[in-house]
Amino acid sequence: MTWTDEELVARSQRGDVDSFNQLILRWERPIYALAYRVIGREEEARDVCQEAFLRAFRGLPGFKGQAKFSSWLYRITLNLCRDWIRRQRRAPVSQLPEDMDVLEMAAARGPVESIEDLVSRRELSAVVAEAMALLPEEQRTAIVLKEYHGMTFQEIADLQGCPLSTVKTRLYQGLSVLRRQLERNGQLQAEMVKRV
Amino acid sequence: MSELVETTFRCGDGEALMTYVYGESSPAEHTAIAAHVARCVACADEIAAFGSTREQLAAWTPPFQSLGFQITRRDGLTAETEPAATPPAPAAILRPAAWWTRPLPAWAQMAAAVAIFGSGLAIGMARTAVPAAGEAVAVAPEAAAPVAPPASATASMVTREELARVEQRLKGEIAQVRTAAPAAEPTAAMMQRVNQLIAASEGRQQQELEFRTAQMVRDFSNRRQIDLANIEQRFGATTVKVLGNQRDINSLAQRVAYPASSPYVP
Repeated sequence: MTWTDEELVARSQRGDVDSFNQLILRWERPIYALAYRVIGREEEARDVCQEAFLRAFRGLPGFKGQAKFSSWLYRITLNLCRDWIRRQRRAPVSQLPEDMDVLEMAAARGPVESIEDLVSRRELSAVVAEAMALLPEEQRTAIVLKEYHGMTFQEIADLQGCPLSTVKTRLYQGLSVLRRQLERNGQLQAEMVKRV
Repeated sequence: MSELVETTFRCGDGEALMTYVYGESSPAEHTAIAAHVARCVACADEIAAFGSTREQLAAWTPPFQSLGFQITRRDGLTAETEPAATPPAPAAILRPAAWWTRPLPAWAQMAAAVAIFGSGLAIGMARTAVPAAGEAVAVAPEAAAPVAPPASATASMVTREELARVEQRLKGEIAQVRTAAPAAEPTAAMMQRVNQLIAASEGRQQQELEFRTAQMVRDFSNRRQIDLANIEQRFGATTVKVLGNQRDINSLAQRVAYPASSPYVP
């Protein structure tokens, strides 16, 4: 028999630890994926995932079911990710204001790696991860929630605590930067092919 | 929620484009944007580029991590023993997957290798440290002398007869218990409980299987996209090389056909 999240939450609130462990089994992969894509580090994402479930378990008595369990869990995870990014002094991701043009900044900084280095790790996944890391946290989170977790604009707005229009703007700006960054990587690879 | 539905689309309106790209625009808005895109090359290109970017985003998969978190209780109480409507006990820890299922860090592997090497070296040195002949003669008489067991050890030694008696007694007790308690027939409640446990286990396994299958399909699809991109790239490089070779051959053929005009002929 497959229980719904709400049923498992109710049983967990009555003290059934196994039910909560079923919730963990159900949600640990999406939560880990969310944490990894937002903070960009494997081990830290694992820690965040573990802490999120621990906080959820401890907070069960206060969870009244106004929102879906998954939304509540996502919110806890995103708060932990935000805390982690704030604590991180040498963060792998840039903490840029939203109005700053990332590509201009990158161009001013000059090429940080040769074409050969870029080609050596040309796998698309790594390229996308690198491009995502350039985005400000809010834009990256909005894109992750939309693209990989299939949330609606309204759900993202609720999670991020911002108006609907802000979510759309973040998505538009983030996708525009990603598009240019990925096109730039594609041009570099094309140049390399021409030189061969 | 009452939102003003726009029936016109302003070129370059990023927010409206997002609702269109993600399929969350209202029917009127969708119609207006679609009509605009049909005659505006710039917006059509932008939407196509967003589509391409989103396809590339699908290739980004998180690396595999063994998770398997579980809430465990320190007090060892099971859920059934707790009264209903009692909030979960705070004495709980989140236990990650077993440590032996996780890859060892490099420093731990190095430390283990050093420890094994050191212990082997110590054993080898102990074996090769043969005492001198004089020392052996001096030690031999003491070693050859029969060692009397200490009094306490003698008192606690167990004879074969005592062991046999204990064995006989245990066999008798086991036989007595077997005859006193015949195998109980499983009750209906017990069978129901077993069936529930089996059903729960099967459900969990089914969920896990479904998740793993979906993950494998997704990974396979992403891998395929990456491989296709690599193949296209390598094919392009090979084509460039072939064209270069063809150009060289043409050049050589020209020189052979017209030797007088060649600058390499003296």
